[in-house]
Amino acid sequence: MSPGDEQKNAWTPAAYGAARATASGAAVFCMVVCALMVINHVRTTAADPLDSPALQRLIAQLAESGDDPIVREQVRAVDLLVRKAYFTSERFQRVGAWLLGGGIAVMLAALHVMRLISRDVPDVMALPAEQDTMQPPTLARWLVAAVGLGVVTVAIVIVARSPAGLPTDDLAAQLERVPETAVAAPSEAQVLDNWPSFRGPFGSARSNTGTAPTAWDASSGEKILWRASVPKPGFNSPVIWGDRVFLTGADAAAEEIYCFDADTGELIWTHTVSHIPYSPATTPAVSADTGLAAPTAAVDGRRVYAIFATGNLVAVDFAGNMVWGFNLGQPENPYGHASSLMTWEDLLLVQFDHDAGGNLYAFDSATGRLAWHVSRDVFASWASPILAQIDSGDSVVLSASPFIEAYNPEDGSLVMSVDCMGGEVGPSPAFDGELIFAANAYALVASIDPAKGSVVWESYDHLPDVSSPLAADGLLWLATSDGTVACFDASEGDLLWIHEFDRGFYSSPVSAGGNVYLTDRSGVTHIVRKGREFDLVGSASIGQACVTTPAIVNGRVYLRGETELFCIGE
Amino acid sequence: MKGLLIAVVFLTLSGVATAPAAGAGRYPEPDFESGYVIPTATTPAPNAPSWEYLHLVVLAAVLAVTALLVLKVRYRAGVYILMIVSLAYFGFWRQGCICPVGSQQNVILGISDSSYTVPIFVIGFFFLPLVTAVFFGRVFCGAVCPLGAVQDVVALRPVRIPEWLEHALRMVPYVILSLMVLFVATGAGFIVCRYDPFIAFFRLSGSAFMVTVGAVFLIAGIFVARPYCRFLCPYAVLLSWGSRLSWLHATITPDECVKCRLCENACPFGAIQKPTPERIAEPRERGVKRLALLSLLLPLIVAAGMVAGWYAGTPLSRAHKTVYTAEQVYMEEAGLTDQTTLESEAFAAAGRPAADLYEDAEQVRGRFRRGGALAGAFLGVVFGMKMLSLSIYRQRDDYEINKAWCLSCARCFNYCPREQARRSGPREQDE
Repeated sequence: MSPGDEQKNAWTPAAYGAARATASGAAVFCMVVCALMVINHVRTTAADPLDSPALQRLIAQLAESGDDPIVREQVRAVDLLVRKAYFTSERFQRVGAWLLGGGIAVMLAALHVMRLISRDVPDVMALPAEQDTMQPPTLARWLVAAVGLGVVTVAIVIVARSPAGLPTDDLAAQLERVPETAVAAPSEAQVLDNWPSFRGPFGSARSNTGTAPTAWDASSGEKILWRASVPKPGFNSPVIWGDRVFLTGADAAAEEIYCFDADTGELIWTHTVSHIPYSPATTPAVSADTGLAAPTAAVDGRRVYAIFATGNLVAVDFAGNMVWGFNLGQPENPYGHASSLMTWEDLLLVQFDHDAGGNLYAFDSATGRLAWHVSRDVFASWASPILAQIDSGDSVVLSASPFIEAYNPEDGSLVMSVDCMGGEVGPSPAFDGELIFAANAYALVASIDPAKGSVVWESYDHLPDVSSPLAADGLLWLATSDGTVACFDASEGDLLWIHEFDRGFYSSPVSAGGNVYLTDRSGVTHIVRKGREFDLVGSASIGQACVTTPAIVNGRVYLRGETELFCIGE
Repeated sequence: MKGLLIAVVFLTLSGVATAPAAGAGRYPEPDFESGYVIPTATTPAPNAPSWEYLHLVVLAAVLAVTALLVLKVRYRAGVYILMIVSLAYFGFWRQGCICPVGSQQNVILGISDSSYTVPIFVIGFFFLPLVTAVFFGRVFCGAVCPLGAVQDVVALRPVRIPEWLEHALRMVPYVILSLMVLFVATGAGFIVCRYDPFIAFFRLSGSAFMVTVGAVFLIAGIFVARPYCRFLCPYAVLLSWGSRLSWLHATITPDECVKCRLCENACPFGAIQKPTPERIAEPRERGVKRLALLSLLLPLIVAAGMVAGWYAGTPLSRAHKTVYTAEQVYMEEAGLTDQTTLESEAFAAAGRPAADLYEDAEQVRGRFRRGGALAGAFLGVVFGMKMLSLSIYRQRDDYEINKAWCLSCARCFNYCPREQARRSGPREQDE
């Protein structure tokens, strides 16, 4: 033994004792800190400061006293107190965690010192005797196999214990609705024979089924075939397929779709929209002249489709049963959603331009599944889509600020985009077979060559802010909110004539036979002969306010007034 | 022993007691006007890239010094001090992130998702310890990894785990690695980070569950040295592969083994392999037959793993937010539940049709099934190869280090009389 070793042995017991004392002291310290933290934790979690009896008592007292200012101050004082207590206890835990960490570190260090000091040379004699034969690692092999089997077993258990009631395979397939009897999409001829969307076939505002009455009077009943009350309000216009007329209506209580008999006016069924997941719990704030049911429904002979200010989008079959429905998200715009729906073959097209972004959706009309979606860099708009034939292919044309755009309805690819529009766009575009027309108040009326994607002509007078333009027979008709009707040469943009009526127009002009039907806000329809000069054929009234657009099919005019639906004909 | 028991009690209590301290405090605003202006919530700015590169330089430096201490100086105290420094720096100061264990996930995501770019310093954190392992063994585990360090300091009374059990338990990290790759590659998330048992200690913040899990690991770590590193860590799998090939590796003895048996129980991680007797206790034919049988079974084991992985893919896909949300929305739509979740409410607010979500979920499920099959096949290969390797006898004449299991902690050096002689060599020569 060297002198150094002797000296080491002399202080070893002392060092060991010091380390043990340190470890014990640190242990006691940690125990105290732990105990305090546990007590604090139990107290904090057991007594939720928000449920403080004193605070609750005072709040109740405040309610009884009718907002007594003294009690109110007491509530505030107690509230402040419980908040302070809460944050103090939180701080206590945080400081405690640091102290505990420090205590444990000291304790561990002392324990390591004790280990180092007390460490002896391993006792080789105590080790098991060396073997003279190598034992094969059979147990290890089996155990590895057991772990492998255990992993497989766990996998099987996970699969077997998958929560019942949930589709585990092909989730989307299991959610398929029961397929309807396959009915082909309507042909162009069928569309032209009906009035399937806002402003008629393809949104053209042109009736293809002959002439319509030029005189009627609701007060005397002249040429009023029937009139029917509409249960709930709505500024949407009638759509017609065969012998069915469809409308929608909504108030804070419910959203409804109505089906009327086109011949008798009988309300065949009412579908109340319900069980739409994520439908807003509260009625969205909308302006009085937009309401909760401004968008016009669309119909394709198989189903009727409707959208409301809540963003609820539903498809209902001709028997009034919901086929599919979901909430598209509550539109964010200052007046309420107003863009109407349009169908194209087996797709439902939804213009959904709001403050959160511009969108054009195409949903499978049978299932509601998204076929494609286009995000549009436009401001909120209230216009509706129309269909136009551009380069011998169908295009869906949208008007919004700042773009007039056309998309291929097959895949949503952009066909045309013209930067010319401004303001809060309400009027929908029009198409006369060659040119696209778009107009909006405080902006312009523009004629666009869709093949070139350029403006042919533009004008800045007599602009509508709600009513949509009508393009027919080489003429462009605009009806403004102040009662002015202007007629332009469609190809050159020359103003042919203007005429000022007494009341303004929200309703869009519609062409039938050789006439244009312009319904003013008082419910008087002015029938003007299509021509390069103003020629009033007559004026006819339904006797109540009207902001909707007439549907003209088979010699009948269907017009929704403030409270009733009218059928006018011979 | 008393001290040990006290330590157990405190570590348990610390888990319970720190949990409430850890939870981020939330308290609703007063429901009346008090004139107090609620401060705008802010989030701390991320570290500047220059800082991250500095951390990378520190990592490289610590790895280099550790390699020097283990391979050249052979100095356990130095390694231990470096480990404490690393624990303080990479653990408590850097709050355990980003660590090489977690960086694997970034790298996998970078490979599987072309829209995700892995930062250079993250790639550095992933590859540096691996490259070091290929050259010098698992020096990262020995003194650099904060997760290993926090377990090492509590390893006060480690017991030796039987070799047969050690072999079996060391298969678990392969399972974790497979799951980690599957979850990351399918976009389900970074599960290794989410269930890091020690991150709550490094950050002094975490859920009560994770704090408790961490405390349990530390308590277990008193008796079973570094349980996470040996039986769970997925990065250890990669490091052990690198270490098997290492160019230089720590050895128990600086020169020759005298078979004194002093080091036999020195390694708390079971990484010291004894010399083997020359005779084998079973006929050679039996061993050959077993080897042949296992070789034939290997494709079946791989196939079984693939099938199990394929079918487990669907339920495992629930860890992905899209599938989870789709199933929740489905249950709500089908009227199976009245409860909504934050995810389903957010989905509803986004205004997308549920059918789209279901389609997305189905795609994710497909990825999980395919990924699950690959993971199962990988595990089949690993388990099959392990059983094969356990059927091949290797002759050892000396006490040797198992390169794959050795954590380069330098503990065994002090047990070797040849090492003691090396250290006192000049003095003895003087005498």
